[in-house]
Amino acid sequence: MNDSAASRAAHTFALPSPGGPRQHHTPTVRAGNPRQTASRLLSYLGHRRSAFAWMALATALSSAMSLFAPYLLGRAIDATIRGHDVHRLVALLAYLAGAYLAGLTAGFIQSLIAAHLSQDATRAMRRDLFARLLVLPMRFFDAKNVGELMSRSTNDLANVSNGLNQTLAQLMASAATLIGCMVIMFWQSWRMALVALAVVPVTAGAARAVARLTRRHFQSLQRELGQVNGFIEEMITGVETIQLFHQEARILDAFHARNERLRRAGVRAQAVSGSMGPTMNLMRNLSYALIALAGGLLALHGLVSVGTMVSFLNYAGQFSQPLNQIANQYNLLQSALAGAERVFEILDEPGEADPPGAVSADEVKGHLEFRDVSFAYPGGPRVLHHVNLQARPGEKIAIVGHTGSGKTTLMHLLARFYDPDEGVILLDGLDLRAVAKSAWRRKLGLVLQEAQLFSGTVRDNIRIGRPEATDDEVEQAAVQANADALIRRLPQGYDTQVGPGGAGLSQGESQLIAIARTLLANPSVLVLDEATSNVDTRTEMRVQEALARLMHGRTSIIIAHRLSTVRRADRIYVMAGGRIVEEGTHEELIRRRGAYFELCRLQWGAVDQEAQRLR
Amino acid sequence: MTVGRGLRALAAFVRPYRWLALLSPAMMGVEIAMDLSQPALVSRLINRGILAGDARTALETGLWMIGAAVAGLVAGVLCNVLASRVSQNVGADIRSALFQRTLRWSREQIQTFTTGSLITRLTEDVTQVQTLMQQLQQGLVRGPGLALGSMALAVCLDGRIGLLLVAAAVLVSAVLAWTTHLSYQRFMCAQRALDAMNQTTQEHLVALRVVRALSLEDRALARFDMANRDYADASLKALYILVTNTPLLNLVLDAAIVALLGWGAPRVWRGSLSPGHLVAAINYATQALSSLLMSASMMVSAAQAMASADRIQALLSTEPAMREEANAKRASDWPHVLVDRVDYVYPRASHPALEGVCLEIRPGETLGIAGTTGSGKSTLLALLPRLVDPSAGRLVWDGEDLRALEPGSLRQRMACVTQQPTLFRGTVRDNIAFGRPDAPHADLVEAARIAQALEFIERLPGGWEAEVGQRGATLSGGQRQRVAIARALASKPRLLVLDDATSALDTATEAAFLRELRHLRDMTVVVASSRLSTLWNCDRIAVFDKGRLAGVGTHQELLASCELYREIWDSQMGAAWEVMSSE
Repeated sequence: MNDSAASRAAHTFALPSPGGPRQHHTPTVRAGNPRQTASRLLSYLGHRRSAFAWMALATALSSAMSLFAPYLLGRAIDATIRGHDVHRLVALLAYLAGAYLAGLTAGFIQSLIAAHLSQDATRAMRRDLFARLLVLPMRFFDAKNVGELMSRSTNDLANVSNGLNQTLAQLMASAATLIGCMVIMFWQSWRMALVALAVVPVTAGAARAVARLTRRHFQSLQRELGQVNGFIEEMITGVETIQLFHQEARILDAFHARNERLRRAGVRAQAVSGSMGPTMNLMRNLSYALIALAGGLLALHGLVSVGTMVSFLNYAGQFSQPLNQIANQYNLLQSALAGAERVFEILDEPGEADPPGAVSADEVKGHLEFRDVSFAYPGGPRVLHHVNLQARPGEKIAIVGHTGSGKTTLMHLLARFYDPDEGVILLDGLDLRAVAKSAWRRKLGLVLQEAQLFSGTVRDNIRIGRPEATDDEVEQAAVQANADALIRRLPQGYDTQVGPGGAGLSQGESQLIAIARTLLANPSVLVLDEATSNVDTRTEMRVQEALARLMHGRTSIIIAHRLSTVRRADRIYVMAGGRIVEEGTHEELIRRRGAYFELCRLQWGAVDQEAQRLR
Repeated sequence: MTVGRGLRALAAFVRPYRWLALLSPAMMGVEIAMDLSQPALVSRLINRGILAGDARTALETGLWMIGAAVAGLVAGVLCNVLASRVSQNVGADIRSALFQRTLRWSREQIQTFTTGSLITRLTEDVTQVQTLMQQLQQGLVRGPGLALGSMALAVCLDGRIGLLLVAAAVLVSAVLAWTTHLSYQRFMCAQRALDAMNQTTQEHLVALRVVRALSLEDRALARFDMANRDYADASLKALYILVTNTPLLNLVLDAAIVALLGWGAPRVWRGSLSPGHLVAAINYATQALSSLLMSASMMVSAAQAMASADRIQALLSTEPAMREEANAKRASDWPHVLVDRVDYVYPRASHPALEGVCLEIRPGETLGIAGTTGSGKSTLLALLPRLVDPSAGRLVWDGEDLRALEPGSLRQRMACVTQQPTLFRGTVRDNIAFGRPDAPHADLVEAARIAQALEFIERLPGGWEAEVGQRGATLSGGQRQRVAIARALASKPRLLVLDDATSALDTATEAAFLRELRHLRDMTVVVASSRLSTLWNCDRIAVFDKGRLAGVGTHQELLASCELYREIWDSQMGAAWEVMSSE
């Protein structure tokens, strides 16, 4: 942004400045379909027609003034040289001051509007992007790392904002200045204009040559830098492992090798890219010298005035600057378009949608049935094979099995993060797909292994379950969930901030608050993924007790890890390799000495006594 | 911001390249001189050439201008090449010094800085400083150099015009200093607002399933809207400075030009100023003020780079906490460890993580460490390879205090596996041979077999040569744990430390591994787990509760004597059922 301030400042300057500003030259990434993306990007600005019109007007005025001022300056110098005419000089100076003032006011208005427009547009894009991410189907996120997705989007939107802010007005201004400059130059003296233009192709050629060299060397620099930074990141993350295996010397050698390559690539790339400055400086000085030389000789023959020559020295600067700026702004625009294109790609992803005529689930009895359900995650192998499973209203169903046996997938299908590929899930005899997603999810209570609290107060977090609940109801739910006592011990009780950046609650404590949240929501069906790791024993007792209350009278499907939970279930389904391999009560399955028995023996070890007890 | 302290510390890195670092600004000086000669030559061309009607002088002067332009190019390119050598070399040296240092830091030191911040400092901050180094020899010399040179020449040309120019330059500098300061602050504000917005996004996207399950989409969007508006407002406030800055400075510059003309023209008429000088003066005014403006835009990034230099300096001034004693001995290969009244308090923690722990690890035994999360298990295990040193008490290895031994030799005697082990980019073989790069293949195979990894390794596409990706990303959690166990075994330790290292293995695989482990006669094993099903077969089990040792003994002894052990056993194995059903 600062570069732009300087270059903007420079282009409204009125006098030639040999070797003035110097920009850093870095290559950019391009959009695949720039035209379509650009028109869509413009639609984000489109509703501000009047602002646009004002900005165009201000741009035109500012450009005109930046051309008019050097002309006036030349006339003022001629007036000075020609002789003693105070009135003429004062008048010219007044015009000059007026032109300067009008130009910088117009420039100010133009950049102010551009700033507002670009910020409004990117803000709207950010909102649309976030709103889209909220409704995209889960399979969109499967292939992506959320952190990466976020940093990419942040980066892309920053490019869009930067690009819009710096190019909206200035591309227009640069083009206007360029054209105006040419017109005035030819109008003042076609001979001098030709001299001034003579340097342009040389400049453009030199810039291209340096840019091409730069691009090549920068690519290899980026590669080496990526290697070194990746290595640093990996090794610092794993520094303890390196120390534990006493491999510091070996890793340091490997680092040095990479760092040396980066050092060499860096010197080369910097030496090449840095020569853009002196090269452009040469071109400016050369055109300055040529104009002075040619102007001087022409002036000697009385073909131009000294004032005209001074104006031309001015225009030469004005002329080369927009050329450089257009190149720069073109690059900025390219990265903005590339960024916008990636954002639009996400916006174009189809979101989760209910089929037309989806019913709302007002009266749910809670009879659930998986009928011959098969499922594969997008692009993955099949993880559920012909699953049949039934939970009658009020029943507690336990699902057990090794990691990777398909338990969590069952839960994902129930919550309708995905729908089955084959077979159906029936709710009270109705295909679950015919029920509106949000209505169903309101009837479904989901308690996950790791309770997720959101930033906000404890009260907010419990109320998430039913936003219209009174404080009394919130506290009632907390009492039911065994969470009231712990909440009251927090520094601000129910108004304590939790979640990221809030009070640190233990896993068990968060679990209790999540249970209160679910109790308040009063779901008809409960899906519960039991925590595997042991929280401290006393909290664990309280969690178990609260869960027992939560499950009371509700259809509950539990992904069970504890023997106590399994023994309590009305029916146990044993999963292996995406299939249901056994079903029955704890006693029945132990007696059968099949997969369940084996699982119990391995998982809980203590099954021998159990088997004895049941013999 | 303590501007300069960081830079002074970095000066040491410039010393090896000091001649180059002096030569490149000198070249920049030549380039500046060539640039500044142009208006002076134009002035000469007007006065002695055109106005005097001397075509030869005009031509000569013009050719001189072209010559100066070319000389300027040569000097400019040389300056850039020299500056590039200095800045890139200094950057590489700093990176290397930081990396070397970080490898020797203790866990506490790394945690103080946090891994994320260390990575930023070694990558982005070094790049920033590198750019600053380049600017210090090039851009930051050029801007002020042109400004000062122009003013000096203007003063030479005409004292009073020069003074007018100096006054304008002082005004411009004051405005710039103020706006630079203000815009830096406002950009920092905008950055904070951006962080807050990203945090909101992150919070909801990471927990998207929960957001969906609880139908929180509207609430999430409302929260995001708030953060989004804050960020947009903060950005606008920062942009206002930039938007105002430019017209304000142009105002000073334009006023200076009008004043020069209004003041200079009567003097030209009186004959005390030549027209050529007036034109040159106007050129110098533009040159001086626009150069200052250029430097200002570099100052904001320079200020950020100074902050980077400070952050780097903070790393350079932190000495590795774990010093090796001058007369340190090599650790013997008899893995007999005594934990003697050990306390450990984490930095800035109010409660000790370990308190008064006395424990013996007997050669050849398998010792289980039980306890809930936060009971001190992992802290105890980190003391063994001296990842941390005790706050009080001592650990003894075969009769020697651990602190009297070479840390390297101690670590060669043992191998540790954590719950989330770090694998490195490379092949499966590279990873398993990590601790003993010269190990024969047969040893690696044997280690993999014991770790229950052999079967899946051979099924991987590429087998032993399969790439595991960054942090072992192409492997599942359980596969990563098994490769890490194989890596530990392949280094042939006398003492194997497993800290919840089998948590992602299913119970059958875990049982098979533990069975194999029991057959290894010449290895002492310490295994910590929150699952008693992992531990109950150990020779002895030590139970930890809130940093204290609550009991040691066999499974049967502890069931009889240790209430906590019984409680955990019951809660994991099911007696909680009775408590619940009596409700």
